[in-house]
Amino acid sequence: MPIVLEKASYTYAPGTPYEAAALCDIDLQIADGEFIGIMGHTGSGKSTLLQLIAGLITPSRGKVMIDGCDINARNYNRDVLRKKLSMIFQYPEYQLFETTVEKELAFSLKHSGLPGKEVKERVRRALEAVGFSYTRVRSLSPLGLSGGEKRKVAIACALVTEPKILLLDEPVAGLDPRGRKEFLEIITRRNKAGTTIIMVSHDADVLGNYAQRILVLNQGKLLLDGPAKRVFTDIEKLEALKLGVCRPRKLARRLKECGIPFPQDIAGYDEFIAAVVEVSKKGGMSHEPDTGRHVYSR
Amino acid sequence: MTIVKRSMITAVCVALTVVLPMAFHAVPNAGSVILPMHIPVLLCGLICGWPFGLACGLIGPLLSNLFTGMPPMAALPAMLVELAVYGLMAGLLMSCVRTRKVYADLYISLLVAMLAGRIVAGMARALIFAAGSYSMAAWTTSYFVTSLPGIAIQIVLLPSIVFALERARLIPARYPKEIVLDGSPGLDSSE
Amino acid sequence: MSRIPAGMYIPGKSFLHRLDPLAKLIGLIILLAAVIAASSPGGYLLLILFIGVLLALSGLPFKLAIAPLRRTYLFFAVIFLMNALFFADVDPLWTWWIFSLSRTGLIQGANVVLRLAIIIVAGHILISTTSPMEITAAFRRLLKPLQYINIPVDIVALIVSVAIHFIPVLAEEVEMIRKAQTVRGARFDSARLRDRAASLLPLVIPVFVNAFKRADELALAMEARGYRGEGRRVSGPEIAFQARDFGAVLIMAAICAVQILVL
Repeated sequence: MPIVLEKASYTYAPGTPYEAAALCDIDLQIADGEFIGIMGHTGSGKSTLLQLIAGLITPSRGKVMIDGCDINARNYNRDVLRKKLSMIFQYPEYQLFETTVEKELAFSLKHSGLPGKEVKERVRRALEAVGFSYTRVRSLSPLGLSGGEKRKVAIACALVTEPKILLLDEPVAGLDPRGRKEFLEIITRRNKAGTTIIMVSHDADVLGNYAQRILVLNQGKLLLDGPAKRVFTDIEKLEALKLGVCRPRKLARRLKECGIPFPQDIAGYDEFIAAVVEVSKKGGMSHEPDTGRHVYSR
Repeated sequence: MTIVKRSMITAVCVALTVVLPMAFHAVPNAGSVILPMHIPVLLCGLICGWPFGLACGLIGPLLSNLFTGMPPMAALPAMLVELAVYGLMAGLLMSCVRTRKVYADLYISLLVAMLAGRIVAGMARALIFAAGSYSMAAWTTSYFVTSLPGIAIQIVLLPSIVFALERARLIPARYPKEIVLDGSPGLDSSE
Repeated sequence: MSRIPAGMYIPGKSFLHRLDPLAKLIGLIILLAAVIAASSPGGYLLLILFIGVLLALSGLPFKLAIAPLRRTYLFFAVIFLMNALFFADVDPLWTWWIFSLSRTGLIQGANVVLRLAIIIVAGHILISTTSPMEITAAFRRLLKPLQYINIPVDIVALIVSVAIHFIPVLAEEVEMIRKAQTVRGARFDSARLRDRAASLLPLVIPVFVNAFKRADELALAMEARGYRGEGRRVSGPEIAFQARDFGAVLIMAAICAVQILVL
């Protein structure tokens, strides 16, 4: 199991008046190539969970294991982790600092021990993965680019190490719909190529459409953990937690309220459309003239 | 730059004189070697001019002492003098020195400002703050020997920051190049 | 991590907490004069007693008030020794090589150290009983008369309040950038100085670029609302002193007078 958390807990500022438990007893196993979405309120511990996996913070209790090794053990070489794992923070363009795009990407490979040629090749691949032309972009200053271009460079920085595990913290924040789509396509391509994706997002639609498995965190505890379809089925629970629900699921409920026996385990648009096709095959719809309602009937 | 913008930049630099030492103290040994408080003050003087640099040099250490206890009360007066002179001189020099090369302007202004600040602070210590017990030896040690890596780092760091800010179009270019309009192709891989 | 750093302020309800911050500030300045004027054992005794009274009035635990002194032991020792051993005096008690221990030197050393210690403790008591916001407001009131000689007090006050507002924001941002660069492979806590120095650029440049961006946006917003940076003429000094504030300042002045004239 590549990522395993055993009773991982994290407390901010222990022993001070500001002490706050961010995560409590998280038990989690994530296999290679999964696409995981994490939902939860602000303060529920989502970012803390990501940072624990990334090795940025040490758990107050419990263990974080990646590929069978405890990453917080004294003799664990962090460089190994840095090669396997990349993280894209919210507004990642804030981390740019170099004089050229090429140098910016090369920074992530600085301690990788790769020869110059290989570095160049990886930089080229990463830039093309986000839709840039290597020759046109490589000597531009990252700080002088437009906002959208900066974000692409930042994403390329995370991809250049060709990580096995990609962590994303609200990655589509501030992107227009087209930017969002492009980004999610890049991520999906990576996932299909075998990269494990763990994405924190407030956007239930994004999670519903792309994530296979969803974790719901609430007040530091792992409340729900299962396939996206199953998690979204329990719509009342999610709404009680005041979490977003993906639109296909809401539509499914509305249809059921209208009397149509529509399946309720819907997470993404594809499933929704498939269900529509299924249901309409089984019977027809008619229009009641006096009430104006559409009525489903066999 | 308008007064409003300069004021906001100064405010941000003051905030950074409080925040940077906090961040650097997480890194072992960085604080006394790298002298993080000098960086925003010098930058403020270089970019906004001498009145704002002076203000930053005075307000910064005071606020920092208030909020984080660094520098400690005992070292505060000398630091105030030192940083105030940094901000002041950096600003004065940038307005006087115009070599048509940004690097040169920056290096000259920085070196003179750092030297001037140390001289004046040393004098203040000798005459006022630690009268009678301050010697040349103490001055050279505390201001030059221990902080030599810090001085070197600042000389590398500060021009890099100024250039980054110019490239990000957050501050006006010191010697603007003419903008050439040509039909440059776009950046994406699609032709 | 994202708490607003409140320095050493400890909220409370003691007499000192309730004094007008400007009164405390003026009191401290007068105390400074009294301390500089102290030169006899009687003088120091008076001051130390006064500090004791202050401490009692502040409700602070003794250990906490003495805390800043603990950090400065070495500094004091150095100053004392430098004075004691290097003070050029006509009648040294003991000489050896470049050192000359003299009575005057010892007294001088003791003077300097005692004065510093008293001021440090007094300042610390002030800071512990007055929140940073109150202190800056008091400073602004203190400096207000300066506007009449053309010093832009209003702009200074603006800079100070905006800076205070930015401190927690920028602190959090520095932390985020540090984390982001750490994941990219920057080594902030490596044993080699070279690695740590190389990690400075990826930390410092984004911090400054983002900070300046915020400054830019804020300035734009202010200018869009018509603010151009002119200071406003203020009608008069704000005095909201109550009886106890006047009393405190008067007592302070009295001590200072006694110090200068008598002791």
